Amino acid sequence: MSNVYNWQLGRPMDYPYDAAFPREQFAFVFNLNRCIGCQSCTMACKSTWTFSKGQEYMWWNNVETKPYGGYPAHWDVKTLDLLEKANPGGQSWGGTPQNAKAPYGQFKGQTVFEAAKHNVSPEGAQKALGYLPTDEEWAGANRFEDHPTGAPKGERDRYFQRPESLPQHKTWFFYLARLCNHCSYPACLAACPRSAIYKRPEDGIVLIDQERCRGYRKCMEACPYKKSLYRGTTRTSEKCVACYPRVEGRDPDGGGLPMQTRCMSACIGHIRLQGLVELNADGTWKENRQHPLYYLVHVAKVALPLYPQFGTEPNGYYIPPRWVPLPYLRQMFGPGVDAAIERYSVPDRELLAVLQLFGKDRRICFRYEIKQGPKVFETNIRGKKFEMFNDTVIGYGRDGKEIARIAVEEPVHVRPAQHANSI
Amino acid sequence: MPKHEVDSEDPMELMGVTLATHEDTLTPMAECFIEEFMRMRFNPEQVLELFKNPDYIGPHMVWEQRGEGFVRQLIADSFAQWGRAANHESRVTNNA
Ligand code: SF4
Ligand code: SF4
Ligand code: SF4
Repeated sequence: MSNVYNWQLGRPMDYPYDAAFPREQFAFVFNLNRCIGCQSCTMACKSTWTFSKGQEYMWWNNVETKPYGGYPAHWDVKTLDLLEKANPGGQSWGGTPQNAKAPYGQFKGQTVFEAAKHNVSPEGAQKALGYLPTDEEWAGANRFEDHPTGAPKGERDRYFQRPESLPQHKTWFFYLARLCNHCSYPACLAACPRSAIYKRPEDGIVLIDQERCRGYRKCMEACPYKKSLYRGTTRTSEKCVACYPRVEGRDPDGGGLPMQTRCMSACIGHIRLQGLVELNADGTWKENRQHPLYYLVHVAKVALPLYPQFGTEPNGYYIPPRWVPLPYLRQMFGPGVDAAIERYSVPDRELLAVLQLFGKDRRICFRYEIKQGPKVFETNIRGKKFEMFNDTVIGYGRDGKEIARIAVEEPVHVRPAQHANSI
Repeated sequence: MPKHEVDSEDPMELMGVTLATHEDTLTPMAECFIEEFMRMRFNPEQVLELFKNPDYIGPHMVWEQRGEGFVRQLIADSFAQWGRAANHESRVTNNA
């Protein structure tokens, strides 16, 4: 075991390998206030990467309906439960939020790596505390999560004829879009006995070498997000490849510039912004004030890691949904939730402008600038002064050239009916 | 064990089970949807259409449980609160 620094936990932690950070790290921010659960992202990934034999139940990108849903079923509840059993009552946060080295204070509990040491089976200790989902749990991605329906025992094909048999949503829920987090301390990589999983030094994308993989599924067991999946036809594990040819700038559409992945660019709700961030020698984010992801995660602090307490330092960040009870969100996104919701609910001038970058251009944005516009409105919102300016945000690609220019009050153009879908 | 029925006694079987909560979050949820689409420059009528659409489950749930009058009022209040009431319609261009 090595001792590595996990800035999301605000402390060092144990990890089976030494820390090694990429030159740039693949990262993304999802605004959950906007996800409409349309699954366009899911289908964009499937139609690009997982449409072949043996991949029928494989969804590298999935969108699940929280709090009930999950792919595989109950993945997060089960992992949280394992951690709670390993460290009863101890999975809590403390300390005070500081700079980029400890923005959420300090996690006092145990990560999947730390808790695994005490979970010794006849095979020895696990590298990361985990479990193998059953085939049933993998089989029904987002099925019955929005329209819970049932059937009498033995009449499985009649699900949709009996919609009255289970209750429908009566209260809060939200859609959680997920893919591999291309973690800084990947549990999948730590657990692989064949060293078949590697993290690329150029962009931090985590890949499974299909030549080396023998399908032991140790990665599936270890990944707390359950984003390594097994393919029976090849007897190997597969996972999200972060659409690496696009990120490398090899998609002809990008004109040689790095492009956002398929699931990001296909998002109807404009909830996604993906990019590459630079890291310091200790793995913390290099200060880059005009980088949109740096701004959202470290300046505005509206975007938070998913289950940071697992300890893998995931690189997917989420703007939490405003209406969901805070205790639930604190468990899911850590102690930064209260401030994030507060800031997002009454967004300031810069945040309103940066949010306009989401979903606007398929090329990766490396820097933004804001051109100030006139004040268009002023009021008091929930006891706070709110001023709205029609600023313009300008996004720049890898080559420093402009890729997007959007005003806060951007006009909307509605397609005429005869060209509603004319692509 | 593979299961064919929902067991409401099973604490791990959360799917399809009514969530026990005393917090009424329908209004903040609806407010959030209205504001998000307002920022995407939908006009009040277009936002109302989302709430009427049974395929758009979140807003539709509010429309069903609270009625159209409630939704209309909330849309009007939200647009007014964020200064979008009077001239929003005219900013939307329809090429048709
Ligand atoms: S999310 Fe899971 S599969 Fe992806 S890098 Fe992290 S541990 Fe590995
Ligand atoms: S990044 Fe690419 S491979 Fe990964 S989930 Fe999205 S579309 Fe699929
Ligand atoms: S495409 Fe976007 S809005 Fe639709 S389900 Fe995926 S993340 Fe949500």
